[in-house]
Amino acid sequence: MPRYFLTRLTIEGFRGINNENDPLDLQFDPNSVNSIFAVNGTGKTSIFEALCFAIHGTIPKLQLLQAQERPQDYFCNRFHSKQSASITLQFQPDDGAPPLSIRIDRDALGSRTVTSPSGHPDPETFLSTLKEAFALLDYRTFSRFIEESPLERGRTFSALLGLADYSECRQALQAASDSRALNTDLEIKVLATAISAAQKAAQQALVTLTSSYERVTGKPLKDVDRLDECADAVTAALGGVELLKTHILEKGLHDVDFGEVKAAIRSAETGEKRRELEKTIESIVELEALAAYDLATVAIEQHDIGVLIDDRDRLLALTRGDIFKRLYECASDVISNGGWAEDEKCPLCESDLGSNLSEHVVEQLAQYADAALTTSEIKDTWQASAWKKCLSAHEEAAPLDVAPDTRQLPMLDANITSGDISKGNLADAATWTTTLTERVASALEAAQARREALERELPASLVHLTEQVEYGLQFKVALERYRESQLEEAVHQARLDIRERWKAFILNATATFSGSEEAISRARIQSIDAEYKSMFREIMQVGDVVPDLLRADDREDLHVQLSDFHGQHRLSARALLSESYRNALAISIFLAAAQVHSGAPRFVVLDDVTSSFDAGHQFFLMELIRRRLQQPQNINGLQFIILSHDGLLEKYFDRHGGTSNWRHNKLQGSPPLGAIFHQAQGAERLKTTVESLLSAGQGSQAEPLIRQYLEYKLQQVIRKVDIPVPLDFAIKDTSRMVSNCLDAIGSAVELHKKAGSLVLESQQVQDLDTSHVPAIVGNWVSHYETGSGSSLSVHALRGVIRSIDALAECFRYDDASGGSTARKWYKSLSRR
Amino acid sequence: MSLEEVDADMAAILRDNWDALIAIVRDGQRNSKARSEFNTKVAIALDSLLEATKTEGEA
Repeated sequence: MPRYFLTRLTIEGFRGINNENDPLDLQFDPNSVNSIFAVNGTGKTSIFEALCFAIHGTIPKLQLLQAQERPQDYFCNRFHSKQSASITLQFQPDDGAPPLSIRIDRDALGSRTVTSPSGHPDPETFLSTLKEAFALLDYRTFSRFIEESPLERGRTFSALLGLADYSECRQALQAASDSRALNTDLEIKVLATAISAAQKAAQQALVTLTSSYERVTGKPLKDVDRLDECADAVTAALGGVELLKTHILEKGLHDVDFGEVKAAIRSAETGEKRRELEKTIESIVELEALAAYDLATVAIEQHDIGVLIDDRDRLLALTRGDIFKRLYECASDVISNGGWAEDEKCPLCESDLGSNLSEHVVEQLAQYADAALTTSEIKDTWQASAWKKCLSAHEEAAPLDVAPDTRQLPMLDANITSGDISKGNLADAATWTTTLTERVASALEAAQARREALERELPASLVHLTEQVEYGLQFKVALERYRESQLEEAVHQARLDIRERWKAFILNATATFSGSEEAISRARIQSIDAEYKSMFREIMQVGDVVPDLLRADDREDLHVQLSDFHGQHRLSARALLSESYRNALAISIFLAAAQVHSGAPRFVVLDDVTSSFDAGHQFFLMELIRRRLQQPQNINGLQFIILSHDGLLEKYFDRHGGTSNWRHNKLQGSPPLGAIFHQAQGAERLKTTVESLLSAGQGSQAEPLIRQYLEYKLQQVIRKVDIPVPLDFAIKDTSRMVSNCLDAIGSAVELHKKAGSLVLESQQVQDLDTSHVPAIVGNWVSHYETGSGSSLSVHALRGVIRSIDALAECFRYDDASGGSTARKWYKSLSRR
Repeated sequence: MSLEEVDADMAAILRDNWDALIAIVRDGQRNSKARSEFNTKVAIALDSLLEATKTEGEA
């Protein structure tokens, strides 16, 4: 796969760059370091932001704005008449294929459109391949790298090493294998509760089966694993009665129609008392089933729920209510998204906390989570409880005759489900349950007394038979319920088992993947180890401060420590390194990683990354880039594009600009209203534009361009003939640049004149002194730089252009040494 | 050991839902809704697998 150099960038109407109908057009050489110098406020940052927007679709600075600040209104230049922006990038593949160009437009409504004038079939996808962490670097990126948490640093580093996808995949697997999330999303807890409820229902059915079996057959039920045989014994016992034979024999219990059986008994002996006895026996059977509930278990469950309610109330008391919960959740989002890096400051009032904000938020949210967990436990305990079934059975039992409007189960169920259950509600429900269970005893006693009375009045055989049939029916119903519960349990258990299988698998997959990601990351760290250490040494010129990157064993954390600090070992880099050292370390790591990266971009844009460096360290960094990192000197190197506003660095740029491996540009202009130009757009182009403006009588529009032209030509003279300038030359008031240049040139000429070493011809010296310099000072410096007076006339401005050209010519001579005559610059003021 | 060797059925489910897994973290941001969607897809796949195993067993 080819990698791409950035060879051209044109911008119109974006951020500080207006350039309406005349885009800023920057060209970059893949085989040179490309530097762009601009004093503050001349569009340098807008260039970097244009690249960010083109490649990432966003501008970090605008992303930090709040919605009410309307960040969308600040992408396009606010003085561009169409309120639209266009950015065109041209890339040169490193395999010799033809260049490709991508155009990104943003219209007045904020829509982004990506097209390819060179015909790339999918320009948006192409741009996404350029989203590599090393391609666009600014000072903030470097300073954050050392300052951020080890985890964030580890993730940034993964992206830097081309392992962002692995890092994100690891995070995704970790999220997908999180136990709490799995329990919720896969309903593992719900299934466990359903299994427990089915087990309890089966147990209750078994109690009924045991008692009814004994009532029908007169024998105890001994083996619950042989219930089919028990069912046969029940049918045999009932089928042995002559009256019932035809309805029962040769049928399985499941097929016996107990309605028919009861009808047969009724028809054998009809009458009111017979029917009343039958009803009474039905009630007795039902009441006995109610009496079989294990009230001790119910009491334990009531107690357990009470303890959980106390726990929940205690945990809730530690929290501060729903509004604060939302506040902590928002804070957690802000912290985890990197929106608030100062962990010891309050993000609301920005005061010092004296403690760790992220830990505090985690602690507070954990209290809410604990309370929610306990509420959920109350619900689960209730749903699976024998108490719930006991209460339900009692309230619905016909013999107890509980009116629907007096039933408490629906309300209790709703309170528990919603989490609103209180100790008072619980106590009321427990009392109500006790009332009902006590009512069973008295109702059973009354029913049995009534049965005895009726039995005395009716023939004994049929009385007993009616009772047997009723218990037979109860056995049949309980057997069905038992089997249903067992089936239900098996279904839930199978679903739970397969989920547990997944849980084990995804945990295994996460551990395996994390291990592999860790190994790759360690190998990558190892692969750049010598390189970043050597770069750091080269930039800082120190040998006894040696940084080390250490990847944590089971996390993505990346620690930065000093393996050597002036003879001491294994110390914290964050604690010891000054800002410049930190940035040098971050730059070394990023550039070393970029060198081994094989992603699509083969260019690095550095925006003001030397802000914390003094002149010496700036020099060493630039030399490192120029000599070791820039391709093609380094065959696997990258193309560097350096943006800077640093006056001292500009001197370095000036010295190397125009040499075979350095291309330098300087931005000038008056953004955000006026246009921005750069020198490489050509002094001749500037001059042509000026002349056409002057021809049209537009003197005031031509003035900024004339200033640019003047500065270019004067600085060209200074560079070409090696005129020394004061150290603060470039950082003086920029509006005084022309006179600064004239002063530097005048002083140098004067010095050489007095020393008798001036190489200029006498006519050139005389023209300088008496004509060109006075003309420029008189027609330009005294007007423009002082800001006094009105605009200059078109005629005067033409004179300024002529004077500057003539002045530059005073530093050149005709060289006839090569056979033909060539116009050349003096090498210096004392040498041809 | 490959994931297929650990548990071929589960590995197939993971592979089938890989896109949904990757969507849980995008540009460094974790998305809990995407996580829940992924787990829902997994739950459906697990139940289908269970059903298929049951049918196979019955046949």
